[in-house]
Amino acid sequence: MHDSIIDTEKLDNRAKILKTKTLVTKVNLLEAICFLLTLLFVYAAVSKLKDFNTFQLQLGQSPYITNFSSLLAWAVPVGELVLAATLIYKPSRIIGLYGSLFIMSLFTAYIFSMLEFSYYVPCSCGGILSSLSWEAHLWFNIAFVCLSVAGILIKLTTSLIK
Amino acid sequence: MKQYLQHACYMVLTIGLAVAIVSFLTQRTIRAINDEMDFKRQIISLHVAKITEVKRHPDIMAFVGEKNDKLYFQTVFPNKIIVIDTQLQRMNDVIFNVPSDDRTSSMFSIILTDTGANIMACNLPAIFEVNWQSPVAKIRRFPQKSFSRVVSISENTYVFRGRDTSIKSRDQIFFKGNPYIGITRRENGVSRKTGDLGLSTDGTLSYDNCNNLLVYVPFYGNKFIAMDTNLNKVYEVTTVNYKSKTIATAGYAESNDSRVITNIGPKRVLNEVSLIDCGTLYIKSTARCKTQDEITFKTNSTIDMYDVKDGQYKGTFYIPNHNDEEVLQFTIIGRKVLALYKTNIVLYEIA
Repeated sequence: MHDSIIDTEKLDNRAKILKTKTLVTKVNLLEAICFLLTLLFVYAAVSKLKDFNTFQLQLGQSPYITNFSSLLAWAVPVGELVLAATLIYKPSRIIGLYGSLFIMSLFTAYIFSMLEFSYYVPCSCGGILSSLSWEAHLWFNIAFVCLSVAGILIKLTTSLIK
Repeated sequence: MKQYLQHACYMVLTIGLAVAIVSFLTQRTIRAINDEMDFKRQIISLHVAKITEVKRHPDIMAFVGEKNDKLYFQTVFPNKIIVIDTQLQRMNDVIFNVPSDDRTSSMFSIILTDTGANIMACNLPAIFEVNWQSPVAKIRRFPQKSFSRVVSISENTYVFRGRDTSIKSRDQIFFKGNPYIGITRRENGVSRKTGDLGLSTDGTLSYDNCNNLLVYVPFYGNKFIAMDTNLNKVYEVTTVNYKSKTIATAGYAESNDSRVITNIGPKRVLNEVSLIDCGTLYIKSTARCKTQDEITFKTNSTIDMYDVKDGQYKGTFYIPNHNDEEVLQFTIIGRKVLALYKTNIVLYEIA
């Protein structure tokens, strides 16, 4: 009888340790996802602002957004920086993750639509991303959409466990 | 569980909103294009049957012309011409002692002559006269600072499109010149002035030696002009896709301490390729009309034909895509069509 009580306690402890370990892994994973997204947004925003004139010009060449290119030329990098900030600041992380999901889905849908339906496809990305082909860019964005979804799910799990 | 479901809904809504925004923008653009489809084409049922094909050499850039049962191709190097027989069986290259530096390679075209070829280096500007017997080239200075399009109308007489340095905007106009005596004539009021160095009015210049007319077909417009050899405008006509609007805007862009003139808006090439074969102007058009089946349009290149004499539309025929690739350049050789694709060169017979 005594032994079985000890066994149950041991099992409980093991379960708690396992739960804590899983939680730690998930928190680390979430940190990694947020870090990757932050890095992407800061890098993308800085490259765009660094060569702002070229970015604005490339947006203007897009048949879909030529009319709003001046507004978007500022809105996109500023939006990316705001998203990066919300991902760094833990209490606003869920908003940041939803924002990332939205903006990455928007970019993915935009690239897909440009490749499928547009009569002219200009490049409007900066830095190292400009060396990617449009198809590679599409897969790159899809990967980040998946990361954002994973981030939201992990964030949700960790919040519920806590 | 409830919270998971709730967040799943939020995620679907977030992705849905992004897709909806892009769909709206796409539809808006497609609608504008569809509004231009309200014109009619007269499809001529020509049977274009493949005779033979050859793998395109990676250096080949464009087809130059046909002479003595040989096809001549311009490569990315100004000093190298690729020659293929008309059955596409034998391919060999001819190398000349023409400089292959950045300035010469940046823009050049080749004109075949009776004994060889003239390599027109647009940015030098110079003409390298070469013949098939010797690799040594003769150099002649071209009578204009730089030029973008050039055709030969007789031995040593060229009509070209170059910058008009007499006006501030430096728009491009047509000149007639000779390397020995310089510019002999300049057009008067033929070219449209856009103040962008002629970027938005860029196009193809061809010469019809059967009618002695020069035809300029802009890439981004739905009109083409014909001039006589004294550069007087003979006519200006609207192409069959009369509803298409000119889509090309150029302007100055500043980047990394430099100021360059470039396209500042979306550009839509309407007339991708154009050429003249004794009295007939062929234009590869990117505009689809309402009566054209979408799949047929996508799997073929639409070629509109016009009479060079008066610009009258004669009809349309198709050149099929090859291995899902569309025609990049083509030429008419008697009853045959030579088509240049991304990876192949195909010879068709017109039946």
